[in-house]
Amino acid sequence: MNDDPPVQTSPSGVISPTDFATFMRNYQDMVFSTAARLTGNETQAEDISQEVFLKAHQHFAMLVASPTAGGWLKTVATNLSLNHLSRYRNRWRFFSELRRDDAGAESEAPEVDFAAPDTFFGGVDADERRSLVERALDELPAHQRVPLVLYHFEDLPYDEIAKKLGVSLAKVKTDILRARAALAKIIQRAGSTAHEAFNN
Amino acid sequence: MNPSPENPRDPLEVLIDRTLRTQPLRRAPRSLEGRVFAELARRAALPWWRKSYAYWPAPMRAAFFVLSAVAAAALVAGLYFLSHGASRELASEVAGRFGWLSFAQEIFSAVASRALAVWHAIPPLWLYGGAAVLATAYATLLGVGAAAYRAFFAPRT
Repeated sequence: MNDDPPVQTSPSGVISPTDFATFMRNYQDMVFSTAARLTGNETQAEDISQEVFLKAHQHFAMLVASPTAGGWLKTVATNLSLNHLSRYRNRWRFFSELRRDDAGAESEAPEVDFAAPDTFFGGVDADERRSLVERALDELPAHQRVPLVLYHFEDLPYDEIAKKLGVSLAKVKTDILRARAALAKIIQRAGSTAHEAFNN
Repeated sequence: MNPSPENPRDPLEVLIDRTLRTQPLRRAPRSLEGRVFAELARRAALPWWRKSYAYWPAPMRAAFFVLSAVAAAALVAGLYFLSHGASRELASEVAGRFGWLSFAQEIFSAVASRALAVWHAIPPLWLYGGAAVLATAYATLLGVGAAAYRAFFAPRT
């Protein structure tokens, strides 16, 4: 869904931004969203977005006329976010993730016993809904959130996610499956609270 | 692009996929544009020698290239003459200028021999005990750090 670059369009096609400020304004939400969803942290996402646009400025002559500028920015944002996360993970691996990685690496994807409703949001307005989903994503642990975001937002197939993250295909499938279940529970819990507040 | 959802019979996958794909973009902070332009201005204000080689002026890049080539040639020529014994006088003169190095070596040897004597005078049991205390303190700190991380910082699953 999000790989469509949010550039100004006309009936004749894509209009390239004429200067860097316009270019930034056209793409900054997309770049920030990519980084924020992968890192789960707005401060880090802003740092990463800044880095993305500094790189874009170096290649601006090439990007300004390119119809694939959005894809280029998204790829750079994704790679920088993953680099950031891998540095962070290496720093804390001993404390937090070693056991999880070993446990999930080669196991088959477990059956998730979760009765999915038709919709998460009954009587919750659109702004609240958007905020609930973003907060729920941020609550997921990184090893579940990252493959989920890469799969559902970035449209990467399982094998490419496994390659990017340096883990086995089985672990990617397991983590995405668990992430969906965890996300559904968080959204459902938050959604019902919001619904009660909305009705009261 | 992924055929989405991959497993259309899984209602949870369908629901999550629909929920996430209809999610609008997050709005970038207003400060982002200002930060980027401030950093660009800061980088532009840096003198050329503090930027990477690719941003040096062309004459400076050429001069640097020539100087590097000259230095490399001088190094190779010097090594050639030394290895062929063609400059014994030069070598002895250089050795004379660096006589202070042998003096420093003598001082270092004296200090090292005294330190070794002190080391050998310590009973082995004390050394083993000291090593055990250090290892225990390290393991304790690591354990306390891990427990604190799990208690206060670890993401909830």
